[in-house]
Amino acid sequence: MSDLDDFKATYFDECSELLLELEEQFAAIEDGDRSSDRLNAVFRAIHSIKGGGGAFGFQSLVGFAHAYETLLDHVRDGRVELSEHTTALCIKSNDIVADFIAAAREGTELAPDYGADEKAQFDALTRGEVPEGEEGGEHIEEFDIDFTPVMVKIADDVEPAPAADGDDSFAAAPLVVEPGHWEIKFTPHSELYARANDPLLLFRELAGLGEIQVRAVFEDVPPLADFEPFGVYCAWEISLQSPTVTEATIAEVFEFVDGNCDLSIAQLTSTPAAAGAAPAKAAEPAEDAEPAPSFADLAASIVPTPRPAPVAAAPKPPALKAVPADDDHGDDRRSGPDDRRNGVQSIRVDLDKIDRVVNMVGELVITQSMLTQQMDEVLRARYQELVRGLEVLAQTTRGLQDSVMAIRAQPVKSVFSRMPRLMRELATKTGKKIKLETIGENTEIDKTIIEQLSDPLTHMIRNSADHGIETPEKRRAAGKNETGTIRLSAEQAGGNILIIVEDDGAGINRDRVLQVARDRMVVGPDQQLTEEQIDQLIFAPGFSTASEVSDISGRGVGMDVVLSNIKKIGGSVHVKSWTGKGTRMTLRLPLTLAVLDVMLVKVAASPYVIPLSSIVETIQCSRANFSRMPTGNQVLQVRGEYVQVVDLASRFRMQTEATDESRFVVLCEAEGGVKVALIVDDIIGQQQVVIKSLEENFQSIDGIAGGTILGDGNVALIVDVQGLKSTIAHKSAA
Amino acid sequence: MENLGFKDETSGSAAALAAANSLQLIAFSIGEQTYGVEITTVREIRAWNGATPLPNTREFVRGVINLRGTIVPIFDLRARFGEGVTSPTKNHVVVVMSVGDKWVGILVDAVSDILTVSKDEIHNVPRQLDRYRTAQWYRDT
Repeated sequence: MSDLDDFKATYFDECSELLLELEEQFAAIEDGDRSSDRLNAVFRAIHSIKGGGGAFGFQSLVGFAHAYETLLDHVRDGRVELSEHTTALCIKSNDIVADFIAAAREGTELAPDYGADEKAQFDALTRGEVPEGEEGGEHIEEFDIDFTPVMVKIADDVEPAPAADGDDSFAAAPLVVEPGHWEIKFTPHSELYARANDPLLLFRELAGLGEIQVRAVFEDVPPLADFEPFGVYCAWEISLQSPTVTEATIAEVFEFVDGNCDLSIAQLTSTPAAAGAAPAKAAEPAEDAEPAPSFADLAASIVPTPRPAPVAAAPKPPALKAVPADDDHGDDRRSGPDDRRNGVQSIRVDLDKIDRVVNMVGELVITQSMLTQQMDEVLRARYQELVRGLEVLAQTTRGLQDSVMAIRAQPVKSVFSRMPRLMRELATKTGKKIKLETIGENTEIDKTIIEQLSDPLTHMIRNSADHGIETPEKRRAAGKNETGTIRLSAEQAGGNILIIVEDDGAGINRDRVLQVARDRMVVGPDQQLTEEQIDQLIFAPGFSTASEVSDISGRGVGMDVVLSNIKKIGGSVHVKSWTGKGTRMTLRLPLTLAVLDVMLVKVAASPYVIPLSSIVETIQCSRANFSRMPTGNQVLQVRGEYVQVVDLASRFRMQTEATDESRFVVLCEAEGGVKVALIVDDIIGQQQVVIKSLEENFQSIDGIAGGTILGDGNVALIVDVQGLKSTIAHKSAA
Repeated sequence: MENLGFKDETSGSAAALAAANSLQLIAFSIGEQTYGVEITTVREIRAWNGATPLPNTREFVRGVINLRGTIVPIFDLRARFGEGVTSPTKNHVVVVMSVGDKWVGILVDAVSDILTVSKDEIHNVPRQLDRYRTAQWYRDT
């Protein structure tokens, strides 16, 4: 029972991935990419969902998916045109499939006619294009009622049940043999079953490569009296149609049963004379001990491929180039470059388990830096081996940490792929024409950050669509393309990931923003702000310029939520706007949440750390070129630039006895390239720390981004450079 | 001591009574005054070993400590009760408690005892008196 639950859980996991994939594929299709790869991917996804659903008996899901699949199949064949209408229907159907899956997962019931409309449309589309044919439609009806998952007991030595229900085969288009026609002969040994392998799964995987036909070879099946309980008497012949697969890809499917079966893979080199010819003999596999059986009449097409051509249509292989798979030396194959490209091997691991490893690595980093700190000069001189050992330890720790982080890293695609859909909804609701471009979606970032990224990104894109992009009329009047563009891009910049949302809309209306800010007392009446400061106001809490609360954005929550969410994961937001040309919002995120390279400094005898990624340089105070402004604020002149100065001790209201001679200036760069000079009492060194939250047990503190535990067990606070900088901006403006 | 004697008389059903109708408190002192917190909220008692001060916080926030990898804030109970900031020594004690889903530590002079108190013996704090002297104080922080 619990086994089944496990399988179910895996199935649902897979479903979420497949749904995501669907979303992605349709986004591309909508952009005009009508390549067969896309369609095939969509088809596979729906097919997998249907297949798994059938195994667990989710009837309504299967029924719907089947109708959907049928339509896709027709589209794939060119019998139904992939018009905008069809695409829209498909996209809507993806949601319905998702709902069905969710219902199946929760064990809830949907309305009995849920999705019936769409299903009817599928049928109509399918029927409309199939001449002669109510076939498709009727089948679906039938399918709907009668569908019961067929158990294919391949693992039994008894006659393999001729599985697929014959009526699943739709209009029997003759099988046209293309260059990519493969004949595979697969004879399992008893070890294969002993190791709990199931040929059905292999066939399913093959079916994922292209269209397949599976024929069982029963010739060796002895009379019942001679049956050995664990004997293996059945072999299979599979013909696979796929122009793209290589031998290596096929061999890879059988990788796990390598050595437990006789396998031969052969490509048909030329098109057979007549499709639909009589059953033909497969050429004898070169080194197979098995006698070559002819294609049995009793053939069973095990995997109900979408439109399995009748067995009789098996093409005659005119010239069979036998390529026996190397049963015992499968390693050769594995190293082939093709394999790398085609098969990404992966395992599913519970995220908790990875987090545990991450935490332990974090502790290891702390311990390692503690050990390093314990080494004073005397010890170093005396125990050179120990020093060397520590260096190796440091390197290994670093490597371990990088590897663990790499495990957690995921491409931002998983968030980006949700956006095209949002964009469609927004475009419909606002009546604007908007195009979404995504760039760099393969940029990898920590999984936790990705999870936290979805909401802020949604808000930002909403904001761009609602406030940024103008209506088509306005755009035309401004001499712009009617269709507005929102560009979503991700890139890595040093230790950070930059996520940029850019639009070519009207830009921020600074007068309005300032007016609203003054009205809402976000800004004092006499306060003068630079353009840049005004732009940043949109992130102020409770600030929303939409005079009417719209359905999309403008609930007064929004951009300030973006800021707080992003801050929570250690990132920062910056906005830059060009009037009439557009707005660019930049999210700067840490690559990983867990570990930070920092500079350890001292302020009034307390340890503080400053993220190394924000530090530009350090200067001794005695050599720094300070000047005092009439307001009493200090500025620092460095390389011809004037930089605001923050004395951390006085900013944090702490008494310090350090004299200016011994103190240091740490020049940091905050968001938007703005520099700020922090004065600290001493610089202790550089190390890696694990970020700990202050909010977990306390609250956030102005100017502090978090805490961390040092090698000696003490807590050091992480200076929030961005936060300090923005409070200065407010103060100096006041 | 009379109270104690009284309790002993009823000890026939003491176990049941204790479970249903009494509280166990950890008693600690600040200056002359003894306070108590329910024992089930206490996670750990440790000697004062310094804390990293937090900037821009109120005076009763003594800073944060590392409790096996978690950062826990320490409140100076004396200061919180408005009796001036404690000058802690190694003999001062931090009582770490869980309050809601957060862990907090309070800095006190000493931990003295574990008391079993019948719920009947718990009286409300009279109004007009220092409103902080209730078990509620920590919710305010």
